[in-house]
Amino acid sequence: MRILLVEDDEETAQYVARGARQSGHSVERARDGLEGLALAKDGPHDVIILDRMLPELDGLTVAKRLRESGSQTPILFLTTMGGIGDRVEGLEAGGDDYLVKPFALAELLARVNSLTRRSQRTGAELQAVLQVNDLEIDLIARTVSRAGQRIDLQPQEFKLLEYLARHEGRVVTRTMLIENVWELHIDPRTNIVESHMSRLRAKVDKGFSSQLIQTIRGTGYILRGN
Amino acid sequence: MEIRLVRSESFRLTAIFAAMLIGAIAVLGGGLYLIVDQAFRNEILLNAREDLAAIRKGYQAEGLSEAVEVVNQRLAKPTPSDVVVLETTSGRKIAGNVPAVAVTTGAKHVHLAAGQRRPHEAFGAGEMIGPGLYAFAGQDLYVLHETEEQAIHVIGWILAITLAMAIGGGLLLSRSFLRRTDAITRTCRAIMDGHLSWRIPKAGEGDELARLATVINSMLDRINDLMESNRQITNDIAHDLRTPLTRLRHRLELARAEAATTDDYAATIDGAIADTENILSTFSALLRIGQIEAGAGQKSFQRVDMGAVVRNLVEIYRPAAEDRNHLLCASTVADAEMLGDKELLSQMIVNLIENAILHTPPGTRIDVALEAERQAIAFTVSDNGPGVPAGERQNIFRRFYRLEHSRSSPGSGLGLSLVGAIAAIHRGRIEVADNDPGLRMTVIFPAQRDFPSTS
Repeated sequence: MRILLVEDDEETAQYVARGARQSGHSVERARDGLEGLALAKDGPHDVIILDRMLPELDGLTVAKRLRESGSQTPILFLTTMGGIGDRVEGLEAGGDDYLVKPFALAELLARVNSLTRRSQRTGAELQAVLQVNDLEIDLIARTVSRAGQRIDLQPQEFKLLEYLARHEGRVVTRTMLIENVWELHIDPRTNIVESHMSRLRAKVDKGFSSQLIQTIRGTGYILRGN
Repeated sequence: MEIRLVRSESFRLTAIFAAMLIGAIAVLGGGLYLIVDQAFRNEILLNAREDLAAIRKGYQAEGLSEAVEVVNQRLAKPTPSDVVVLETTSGRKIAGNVPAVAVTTGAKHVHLAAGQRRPHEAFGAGEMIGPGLYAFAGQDLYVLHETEEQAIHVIGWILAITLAMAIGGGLLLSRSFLRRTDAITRTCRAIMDGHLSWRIPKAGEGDELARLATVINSMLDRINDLMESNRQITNDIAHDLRTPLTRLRHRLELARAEAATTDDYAATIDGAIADTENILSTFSALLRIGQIEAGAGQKSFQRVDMGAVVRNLVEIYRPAAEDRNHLLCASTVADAEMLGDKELLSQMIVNLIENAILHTPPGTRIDVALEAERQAIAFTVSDNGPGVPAGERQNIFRRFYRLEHSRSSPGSGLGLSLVGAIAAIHRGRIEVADNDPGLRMTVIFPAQRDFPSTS
């Protein structure tokens, strides 16, 4: 995947670029807002990682100008600005995701993956049934079955499974689940995600030879078919 | 000093007031003068026409000699201001107490020649009495003039006294006003010079300057509190972050000295990362509290369906509570909407639920309730755990404060400070009570039935 990284801090840029390249992405780097805007317009990129406080042109303006010019490339804000209202500002300016520094590399990469796939298949949201191997999720009737057998899920479990299925084959972090499934912006001190996931896995995978939901240690979960 | 007095606002106001008063007195005096003058002249004319009628009647009945007789009788009565004269149309005086006057009929002023008394003016009426015979009757106006002079005198005195009182009162007022504003100015200067504990001395009871002084004093108290809390934060950071930083440093030093295998190094690095996470989350919690206390978020208040938020959070937290052998239930959750920041209100509820889960032993029952009444919306988290001793209850909202037995459980000691800050910007108050057994924490928000159209 081609990533455009607009970041003025040398250390952060190297940290991100190295991590992204190790995961098989190619990284192009801009050091200020104007350069970032120019490179983004030259494009094409699969995702743009954009700092907010940049020399020459701030990140919010870069995002706005890009959207005005008709670019649809997903933008992930990566910034120290984590105050109240900052995230909303970022999303309103045209950002697709907002990650506050300090961050874990795994978190950033999971979000980058999530963004690029999302932009490739926007049609997925219109599907009525999500299918992964023998697992079927009926989004309209809100029922789940595996190998023809009906599985009863609690509402929160259903929401988690739906999100995992929409991101099939990609790592989903705990924070992504908390932010996107529950629409919460909290840093929980209890294992709220793990507790739900263990119940969900017990219902979805127990008694089957293939385990669809897998834990990625220290990062999150992945729902993977064959 | 004198110039300052005259320039002061209270003096200016007094001067304006005095000018208005003087104007009013002048208008009143002038009006009165005109009315009295008119009445006096009407009276003169009335009497004059009576006199003239009597003279005419005498003349028509018995001729000129009787008319002269009437005039003489009329003048025999001692009223010194009466003026009557009977004369021929050719201007020859026949009878009367003044020289002949011009032969014109109707109401008129007549100048009396000097030498009689003083130069005088009479007012009255003249009429033809018979062929070639004319009479004038009226009053010497000196009485009126004297009365008028006296009245002008009195009004003049009244004006002078009013003016003197206004100026004197104005000076007195502005001196006392200046004395009190000087006290405020002095206090402000002193505070600017660093004497932060100075306050405006109390003077006067309940008037606007006293109120102003009270408000300024409470403002200074509030600023002092904020600065105090700021200093407290700085101290807290210095103390409470030193511990985890020291621990991090020890961990790294120990690994440097003793680690032998890559597994040892990996374990140390994992620990160091965890320590760093803790320190960072403490920082961001402090930052957030600071932002909330500064009023951030209030501009983005919207309608929040508190019932839905509470139900949702209880569903989300129930499994985690069960895994720790706690029973989390929501007994009553009313449908209640309020104006607020959904993200912050969720954070507040989460902190209270997590506190109950983390600081109570397994087997504890935690009950979450949302009650809506006419005046208030109350969110309660209660448990039947060990509770908090009554003496410590007011301390738990202090930053970094941790009860002795919970020092070992995770958390920065900032959770309840955050709850307090979030409740405060939503005009909520927190009640901490004994649940007998256990702890009962209630956040009470004023109910808003009339939502502004922000949604």
